[in-house]
Amino acid sequence: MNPAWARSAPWSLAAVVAIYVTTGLGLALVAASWWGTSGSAVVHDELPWLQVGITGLVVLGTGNGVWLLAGRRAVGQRRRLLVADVDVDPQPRRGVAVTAEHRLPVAAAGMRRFHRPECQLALGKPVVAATPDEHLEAGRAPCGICRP
Amino acid sequence: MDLKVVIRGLWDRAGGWLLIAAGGLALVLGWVGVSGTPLPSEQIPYVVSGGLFGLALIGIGTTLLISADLGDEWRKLDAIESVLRSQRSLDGPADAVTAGPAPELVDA
Repeated sequence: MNPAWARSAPWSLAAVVAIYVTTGLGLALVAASWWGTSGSAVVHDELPWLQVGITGLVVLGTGNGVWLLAGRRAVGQRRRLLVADVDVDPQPRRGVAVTAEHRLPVAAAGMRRFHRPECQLALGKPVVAATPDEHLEAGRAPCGICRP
Repeated sequence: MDLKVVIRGLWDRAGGWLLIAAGGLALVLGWVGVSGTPLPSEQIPYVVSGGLFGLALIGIGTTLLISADLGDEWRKLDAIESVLRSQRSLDGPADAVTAGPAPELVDA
């Protein structure tokens, strides 16, 4: 997949080709149906062409539906991956006493940003708590994700 | 917000609404055509050109509108992911989740 394309839309190149083919084919079948029905004065001869038009509409609708489902699935999958990657939980853990120190933002040595204690970017690291002013004096900026 | 992204979003939505309006117009014209003749053989072409073609246009327009929303959400997720990546690269290896031995604690 082209990276530039992947950054702007949730569809693969194959999906783009498929939507153009199904939409074009559907419209062509509807046009053929109109051409066939308008060239006849007998209902019996027009009904098969009407069937062609309905088939075209079904082809077009199916192609568009699959396109939308593919896009929705890709967006949902990416959202789930992103949420799993950054699971910021602002609520204190059940059973954990919330003290003033627990609420202070944290950072570890060498870190250039400070975080909320529950921020995913701080979990599992040897962090220490300090006031925001102390972190700022130490040259750290607030985390752009958890916004301490 | 990037101007290119805004213009692109507007084009998607404008095209979608245009197609929906054209589809609605085709349906109305089809109804006018069908109601104007008592002969079924003359009504069927109107059903196809007005009814089926109008429904097709409305379907394509709706797809365009929903696609525009999905594209917007995709680009928003992309922006969030970019912020996360830059955040991690700024914080350096100390911000990477590691299972190794804890380094010496230093008061901030």
